[in-house]
Amino acid sequence: MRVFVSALILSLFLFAKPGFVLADYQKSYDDYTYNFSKYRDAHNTYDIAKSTYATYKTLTAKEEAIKQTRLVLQSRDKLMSSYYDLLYEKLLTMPAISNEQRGTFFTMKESEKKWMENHQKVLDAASTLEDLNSASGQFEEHFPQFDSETKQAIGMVLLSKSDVLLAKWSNQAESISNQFKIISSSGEDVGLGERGIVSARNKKEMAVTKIESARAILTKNDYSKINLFDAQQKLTEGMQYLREATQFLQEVMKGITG
Amino acid sequence: MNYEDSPSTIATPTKLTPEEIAAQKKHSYLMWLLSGVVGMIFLILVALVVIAANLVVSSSKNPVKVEVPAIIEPLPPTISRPISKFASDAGVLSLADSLTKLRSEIDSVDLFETQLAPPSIDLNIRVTIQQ
Repeated sequence: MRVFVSALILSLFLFAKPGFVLADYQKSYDDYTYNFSKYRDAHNTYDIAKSTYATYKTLTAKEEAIKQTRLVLQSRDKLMSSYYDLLYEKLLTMPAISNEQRGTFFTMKESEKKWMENHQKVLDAASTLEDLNSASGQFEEHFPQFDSETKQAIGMVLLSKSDVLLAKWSNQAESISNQFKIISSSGEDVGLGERGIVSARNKKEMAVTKIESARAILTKNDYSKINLFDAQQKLTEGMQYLREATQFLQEVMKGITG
Repeated sequence: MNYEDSPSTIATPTKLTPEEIAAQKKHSYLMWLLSGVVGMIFLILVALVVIAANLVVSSSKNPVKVEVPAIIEPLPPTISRPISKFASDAGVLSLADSLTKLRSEIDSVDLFETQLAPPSIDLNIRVTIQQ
């Protein structure tokens, strides 16, 4: 019973935060940009330290290179961690994303944060360039997983936007179709309008096909590289079809309103 | 063959009488007069053609104004389809309005989400150990 109540409270906390989600998203975005800025600064300093060490090969230069390498690796982890937070907060703002999908990403995020916590410990403990290079290699090996998970989250956001618009369009088409039935029952000829609705639905089906091909790209479960741009192109094409379908419906309505 | 014995084929000029000479002179005078008259007629015809051509060119440059009658009969109104009696129906107008809003939503949807773009990070952070 106690476990059930705790789980309920936790799920309420995780998935039902009305009113605060946008503010939380903005805070996460600010954190992310701050961490990104820190990472860039750290990277610039690391570059200088690295080239100084390569030029002078002194013990001091080596110590500085160790220090700056550790700092840039730590800031890279923090950047990635804040990027996961940003994506999760974005998922909370999207109404069309199910709690199950959010929950799946939340689990991934927590798992990756755990990985980064452990990685931070490795970085803190590393006192030689060999160990730091090795720790950097661990991140590099793990990166395809980060890449795939984060792109899937972006995909959820983009697909949810498209799905919302598709659902709205279908409701509109249904309402117009019902309105035509009423008009038809009054004895008016609605043949032209009905043909227009059929053409609009055909366009919408083209939009659905494009959106589904984007979904296929974005929901790959293996860690192969997800081509985000390719999926975005498909979604853009889908939206173009939906735009045309809406234009058809507008023309159908113009046939009634004049 | 003796050519001197053969009869000559060249006509020898015959001697004209003064009456014949006078008639010939009169005839040539008439010929001159006739060709002069024909020439004059030809010149007059040429002049007439040139004047007519000029008139055609000038009339094409300055077209003749045609008076249009001031009152034009209006065409009967052409209505391809009869206006529906549902044109001002509240349900129909509401549907048209929500379609406009949907169109605007589709036009403004952001499918690139630049804020969410993956950060460009350096994966190859390594320092070569100097001996």
